[in-house]
Amino acid sequence: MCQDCGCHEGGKDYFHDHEHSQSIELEKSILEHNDHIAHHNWHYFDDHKMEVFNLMSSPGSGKTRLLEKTLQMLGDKKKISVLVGDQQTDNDAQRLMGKGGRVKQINTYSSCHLDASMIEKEIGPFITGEEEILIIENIGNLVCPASFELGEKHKVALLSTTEGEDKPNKYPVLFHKASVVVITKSDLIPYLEWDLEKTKQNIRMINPNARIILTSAKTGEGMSEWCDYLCQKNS
Amino acid sequence: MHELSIARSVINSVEKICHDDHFGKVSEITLDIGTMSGVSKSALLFCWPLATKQTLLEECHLVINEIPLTLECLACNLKSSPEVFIMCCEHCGSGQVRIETGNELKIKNMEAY
Repeated sequence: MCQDCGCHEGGKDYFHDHEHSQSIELEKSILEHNDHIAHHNWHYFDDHKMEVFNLMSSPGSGKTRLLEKTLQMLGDKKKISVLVGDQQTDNDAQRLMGKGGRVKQINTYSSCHLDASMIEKEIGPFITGEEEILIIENIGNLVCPASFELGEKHKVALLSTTEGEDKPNKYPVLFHKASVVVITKSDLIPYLEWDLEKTKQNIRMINPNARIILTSAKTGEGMSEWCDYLCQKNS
Repeated sequence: MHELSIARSVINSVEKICHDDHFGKVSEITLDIGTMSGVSKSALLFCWPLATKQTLLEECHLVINEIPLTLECLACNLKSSPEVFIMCCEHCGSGQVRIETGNELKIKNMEAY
């Protein structure tokens, strides 16, 4: 018997093709809940005049190395906090501590991306509202982080020279959403069969308006331009 | 594999609607998933039976409409549907294009009782 209306249709006790069922038009965003929290995060950051950057890239592209250098260069000029996401370990937080900003590790364990609620939980316990710049280092992954808004103001994609020229074409969703693409490890260019102009063309095919910054955290190339970009709305 | 998070978001949204509107069971859900949404249909179908266990959506039939990428050119006003994602008009070659469809990630409708 149907537990809802008491009729005797269908073969199962509870679930069956039920003649009383209703079709309901929803037209509702699947990520509505995440977007709602992200919206609140965005307003918190805006109210506190914080510039918030979501760094996304494949694992090993040099996000943490870029941030080490960034904190060394900007740490005494700006109030910077960094949230670093990884499935496990606090290795990245350990690397960044003492370099010139406040740092906290988020471990997602099974999850392949950060979501807005993970950032919301840090408002109060870690994010004080006094930061001028908050950098969120997302999980190293070129697919999943692109789908989840965190409340950030700027999406930054990193692309290392060792990854080849066509990563933006292979993973277009993430590169399309980024306002800036930072090319890392430029110091390795002499040792690679890698073409800067071809890479830039590929990025522009996916995202014609993206700003492209060529960097090496090792030699310092492009680091001033990158730091100026982080600070430009904070000056 | 963020499709499990996507499945959970669908379940949470729909269970809330069921609670508010006094539905006891959902028999069918239709989703619109754009090719540029970053969500894989096959991965979502794979995790769906497990994600819906012991929810109001258990054994619910999942229908996924795949929405292709459509670009509208702001220069020549023509539309194109490239197979591979590229922000470029197939007709005049302009990069000044707007994504008209392909970003969808929504719950279209449901059958409930």
